[in-house]
Amino acid sequence: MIELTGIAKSYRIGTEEVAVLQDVNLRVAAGEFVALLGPSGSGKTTLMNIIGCLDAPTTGAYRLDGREVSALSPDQIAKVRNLKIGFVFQNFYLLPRMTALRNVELPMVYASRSRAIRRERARALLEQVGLADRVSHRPNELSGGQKQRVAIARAMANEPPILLADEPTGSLDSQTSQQILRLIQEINAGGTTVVLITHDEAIAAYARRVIRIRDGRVESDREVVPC
Amino acid sequence: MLAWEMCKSAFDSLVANKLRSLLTMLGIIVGVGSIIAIVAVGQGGQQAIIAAIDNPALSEAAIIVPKAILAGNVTSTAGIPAFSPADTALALATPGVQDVYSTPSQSDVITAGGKTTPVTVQAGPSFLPLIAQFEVVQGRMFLPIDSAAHRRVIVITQSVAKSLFGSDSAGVGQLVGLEGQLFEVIGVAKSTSTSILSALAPSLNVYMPTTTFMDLYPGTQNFELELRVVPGYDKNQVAARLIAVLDAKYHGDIFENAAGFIAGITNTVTTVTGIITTIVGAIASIALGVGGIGVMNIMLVSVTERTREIGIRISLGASRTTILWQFLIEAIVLTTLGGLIGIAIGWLIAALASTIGHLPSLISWQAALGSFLFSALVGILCGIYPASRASRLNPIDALRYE
Ligand SMILES: Nc1ncnc2c1ncn2[C@@H]1O[C@H](COP(=O)(O)OP(=O)(O)OP(=O)(O)O)[C@@H](O)[C@H]1O
Ligand SMILES: [Mg+2]
Repeated sequence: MIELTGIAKSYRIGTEEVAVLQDVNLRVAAGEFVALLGPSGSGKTTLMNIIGCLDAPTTGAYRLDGREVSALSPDQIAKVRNLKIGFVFQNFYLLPRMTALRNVELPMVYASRSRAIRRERARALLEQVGLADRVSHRPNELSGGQKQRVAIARAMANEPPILLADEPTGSLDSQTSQQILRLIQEINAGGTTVVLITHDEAIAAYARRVIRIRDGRVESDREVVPC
Repeated sequence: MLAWEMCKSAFDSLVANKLRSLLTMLGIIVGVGSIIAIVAVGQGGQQAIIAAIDNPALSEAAIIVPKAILAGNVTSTAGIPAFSPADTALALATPGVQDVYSTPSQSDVITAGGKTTPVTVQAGPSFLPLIAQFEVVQGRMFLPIDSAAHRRVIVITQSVAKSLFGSDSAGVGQLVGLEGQLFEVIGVAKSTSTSILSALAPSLNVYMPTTTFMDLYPGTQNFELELRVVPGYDKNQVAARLIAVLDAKYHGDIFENAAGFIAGITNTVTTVTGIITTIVGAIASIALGVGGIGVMNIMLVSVTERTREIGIRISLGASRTTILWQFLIEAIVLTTLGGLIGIAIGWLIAALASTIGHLPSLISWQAALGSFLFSALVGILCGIYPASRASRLNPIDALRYE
């Protein structure tokens, strides 16, 4: 489903080219739960942005569901982000002026779903993440863990086949982190491909496959046998 | 549906910054408000002036006058032919003419019971109320028989009755003095003019038969010949025929139908008020333009402030077009809302001007619709650049923006 071949990414700072990713080759099949593990600055977020079609690689090919992403028009890429990919970020990135319900509705607005359907589905999603009684709260009226649940509900609004989570528990305490990771595991159990980004071995242990990144290269790639 | 969602979210973000939105709209509000008020007062004034000039006598009658009188800068009437009784007879003999009359007037002073009031003595036929726009509310109007008998009877306006007899319904049957002669008041008249000017300055008039008037002021020269035509005849054609006869009699191109002259004045008034309205409107448009720049400025600030939000929206699947429309709609909502408030305020100012300041005003839906559309246009013109900047943001930089 996700197929990265010879991906490299570099930034030009002044006259110098700084390579962030080099020769990354990666295949992720449908339904997998993959952790991208690596120290800070190793290029994990850069890689996720490429997988999520937010950024384009400098060189290399990225095929998503068999289609080369670089050949898609901007509107087609927007559609891919809208329907195929759900993002969860470390800092939640909820829209501050909207209620939890409206936040969850937003991807469905961009997918032109009718209002009634949006409402119903957003409520159901918030209920699934245990926030049935917080639908009309605004982000500043929610705890960190609750915000991340809203963000997860929002990411799943259009039932995307892929969930990309970049340090989803980076701002949460260990107990809340555990709950969020369980939730992500459940989502994966429902058939969604999950790519989880972390620098923490313990968190990577929730995944069934761990890919280690170091200095912009894939260092190791191994299946984890659940204990 | 997406458009509706975007309008709603535009409203939300404007409401979230109430004070800022209001201050931004201020330029638009002032611009549109002053355009509406100025155009309303300008058009109202124009209508009032035209109504005042547009003598209803002209719809009843044709008025033949020497051109020299209408020329305006008359210093002496010497050399200008006055109409004689023979001319009146000539007019009456013209086919299609029903009545010939004249309405000379004279300023004078009237006395009664020791009180004195300056008045305009206005002579005319028995159907003068139709021409001079009044109705007799007490007593009666003078009749053709009063005119034929040269009777010393007068009808006074309510304001004359009030200053002489203390009440605007008193005076019928009383005797009053004019030029040392006694006249009997047979009626009190009330103005029927709808012109705003006649309401502002109620006229102190005394009406009497033309025959009586000529007895009272024997030297009066008559420079006006007024005709009523037989129904079915065109009064301007009848007048033209008579003018040809009179011109032949006095040897020259001397006479004119005043209807054409008044139409000319009306046109001039329309042109002048049109020019004034355009100039002041142009100045108000500058205010609108400055308001538009304010909108552009605040939209640029808003795009910068909401860079993170834009990044999030892109990550959720918003296309560049969607982002563009979101900010464009926000600018349009801002300016049209300002436009609507401006229209309401301009309306209010115009209404106040006409009730308190006695300035006639006329609010046209064209001016309101025009300003509404214009403010929407300002929104589009001033919103397009900030919106396109928002839509061209790189999602990664936008998300990382602190
Ligand atoms: N726009 C940019 N311009 C220049 N360099 C950049 C840019 N974005 C990222 N980098 C560099 O790329 C490298 C990798 O960044 P990236 O955010 O992918 O790391 P990360 O593995 O996600 O780290 P962390 O765990 O701290 O989030 C960093 O050294 C960073 O300085
Ligand atoms: Mg990172």
